[in-house]
Amino acid sequence: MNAIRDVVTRNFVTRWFRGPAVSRLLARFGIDSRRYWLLLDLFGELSDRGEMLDQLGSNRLSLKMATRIYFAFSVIMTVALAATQVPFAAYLGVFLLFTTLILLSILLLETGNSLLNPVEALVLAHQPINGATYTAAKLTHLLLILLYLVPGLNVAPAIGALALRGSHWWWAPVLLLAAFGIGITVAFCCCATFGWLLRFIPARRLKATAQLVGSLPLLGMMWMSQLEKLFGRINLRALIPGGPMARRGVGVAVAGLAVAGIVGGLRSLSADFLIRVSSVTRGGASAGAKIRRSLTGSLIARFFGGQPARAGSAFLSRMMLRDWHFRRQILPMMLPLLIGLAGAASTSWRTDPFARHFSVMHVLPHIFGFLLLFICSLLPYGNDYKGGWLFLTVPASSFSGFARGVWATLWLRVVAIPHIIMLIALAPIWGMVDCSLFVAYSAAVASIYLSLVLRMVENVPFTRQPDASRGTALLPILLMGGAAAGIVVAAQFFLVFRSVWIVLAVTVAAAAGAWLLTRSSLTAFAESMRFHLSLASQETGAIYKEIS
Amino acid sequence: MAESIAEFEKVVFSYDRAEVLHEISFTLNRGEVVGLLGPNGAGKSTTIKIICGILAAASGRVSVCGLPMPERSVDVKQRIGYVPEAAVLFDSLTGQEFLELSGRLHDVDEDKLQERIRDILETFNLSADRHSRLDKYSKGMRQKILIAAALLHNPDLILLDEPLSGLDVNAAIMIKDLIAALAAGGRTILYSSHVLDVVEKVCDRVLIIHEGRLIADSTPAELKSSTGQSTLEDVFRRLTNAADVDPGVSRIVAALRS
Repeated sequence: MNAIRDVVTRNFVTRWFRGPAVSRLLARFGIDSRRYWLLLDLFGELSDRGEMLDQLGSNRLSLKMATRIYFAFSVIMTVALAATQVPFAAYLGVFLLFTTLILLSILLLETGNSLLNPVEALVLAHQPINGATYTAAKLTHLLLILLYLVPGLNVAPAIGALALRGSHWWWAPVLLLAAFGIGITVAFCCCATFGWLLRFIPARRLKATAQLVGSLPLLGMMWMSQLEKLFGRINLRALIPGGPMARRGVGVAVAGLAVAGIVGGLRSLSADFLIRVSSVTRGGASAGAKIRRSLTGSLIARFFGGQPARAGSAFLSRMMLRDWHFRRQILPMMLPLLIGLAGAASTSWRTDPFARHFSVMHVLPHIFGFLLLFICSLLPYGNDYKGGWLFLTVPASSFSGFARGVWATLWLRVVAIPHIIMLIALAPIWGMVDCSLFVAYSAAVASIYLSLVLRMVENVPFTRQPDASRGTALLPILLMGGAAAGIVVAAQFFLVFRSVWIVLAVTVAAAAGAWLLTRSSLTAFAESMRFHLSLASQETGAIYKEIS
Repeated sequence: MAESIAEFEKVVFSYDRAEVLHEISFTLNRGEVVGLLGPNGAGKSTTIKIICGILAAASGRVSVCGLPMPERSVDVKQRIGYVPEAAVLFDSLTGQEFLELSGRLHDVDEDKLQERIRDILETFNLSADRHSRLDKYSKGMRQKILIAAALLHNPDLILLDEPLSGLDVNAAIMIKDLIAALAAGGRTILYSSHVLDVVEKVCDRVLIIHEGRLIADSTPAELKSSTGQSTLEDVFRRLTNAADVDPGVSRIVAALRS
């Protein structure tokens, strides 16, 4: 099998694909074919050896996993639509829209990751590579994602189209070709977007802006119904001239503008990128010149373990705000959760949770739990993971305080402060007793979640190399966690929120459980940090425990 | 008249709103070894990056090898060798692979490239480690790889940003001799360093940048005689208005005792 692959590679890829005809075509676009292939081989080699793990386009394992997940989604949608026998136009429209939104949300983030955090660009910036060649290599990297995701999203619908009433054999290839066309357009649009950003946004604001842009498709999906209403109110049909010729003219003008936008963005990217890459990667808003002594840090140092705890708190707070990888990953996870919560709470926040009506407030403690799960699943990884050497020089006794500092920061910022705000805001509406009890219950449950998810942070936070396959590995955990939380919410509503006294008893039990679990998690966290730094070996610990 | 290989004319550069270089002008001539000195944050690395085409000047005129920058940066990059301050490498590649990548990107003929890699690695005592991944290399070995990558394509202009960082004594002596030999062969070398006695020994001319301004452009001997100082270190301290170090040392020691 390998021999056949080698023959195909040698005869087809090397002789034809990398031959003079393709080189001439690339040269027409200002692309140096020799260096283009060198860059593609380099990216492939770096990916195979695990150097570009945080980039989905280079990580075939993660791509295969994502493809399987999207394939499963598309099978469910295909069965549902084929069973209802919708017209082919509607069927095609649904899957193309689905493909567009999914690809846009993935490719925008990938383009940002690839262009704004390019380790390889720093090494390559002084090499004789022109912008068009580098941009083409990056675009090819995005197209690799399409080769996996477009079939994953559209093979099942293409086969399903043949089961529709009055189907023709060509419906399947039409759907696949249209999906690939859309995919290529989306990839070009993503690159062009970053070309325009590069031109107009100052380098120090570029990363933050890119993260916001990367979240737009997700927000678009969530606000789809609102957007439909908005467009309905504007009545676009009335604004477009009536005659077919005029409408065709408007269509051509819009298409022309879109093409000009894409071409302009790509030209900007290929002209400026390698010259600006040093500023781009150096970019980042100023952290401010004032020396601030944080009140939280002082409190944590006072009550949770002295200066090592303060160090843990300050390190975590600053890195969560400044680490590019963490921010890039947490935003798409948190935004839907927070927007969904805000949307649901806006309709039912006045309902007292003890009023025997189910409301979003019953889900609240578990939403805090999921928020903590997202944060803790990302904490081990960081862009500046190489700075982890510092912890090798730290006395072993400090890790316990450091761990408590990390825990205390998360508890104060994600559990304590939001619950205090809730107490102040909701006590006048629910009454002091009900509100205090609910807030205490919610805080205790969220604290249990924190003690459990803290075990996911095995090493010193932000000191492991980012890995794109972690995202796909997290999905089963989220699905199982979601199912478990659903069962707990139902049990909580039917068994606990029946009486104030039961809630009080469960709150006391949950608080005690949280206390015990936190103690054990903190010990495990401190030990695992030392173990991952090779400051303590698991074997020695096991022998020690056996003897003692 | 000496042939100029790089020209800076009233070059201004800013990172965001902070101006890093203020109207800097100087010329590098063929066969010269020029030292680039300045305190931390003075703008030395920025100057080198502008010559490399990694950064573009906000205003002023830059030309390298007779080509305008940044418009012809790709052609210029073909003719310069650059050893960056920080040894950023692809850690998963081997030393041999990294050098092959660099040589091929500079379009060096394959036979010639392999011959040069073999010779340079042997001279640097890296032959035995040529197939080890770069993440296994020590700091000095990584520095040697960076220097090797900068020389492989036989550039006209070599930009060295702290090239001796991490090198052992023998390797450092060899690099100093290599710099002299390359200059004798008509190569121009811009040498940025904080080790002033080395600069004094290897450089024909010295540029001193302070707070983004060029405050000196002369030979070490002329600088010493014009300022009445006996060493380049004293010249540097005087021109950059460095405060007397003793009070600072006393303050740190007192702070550590408190």
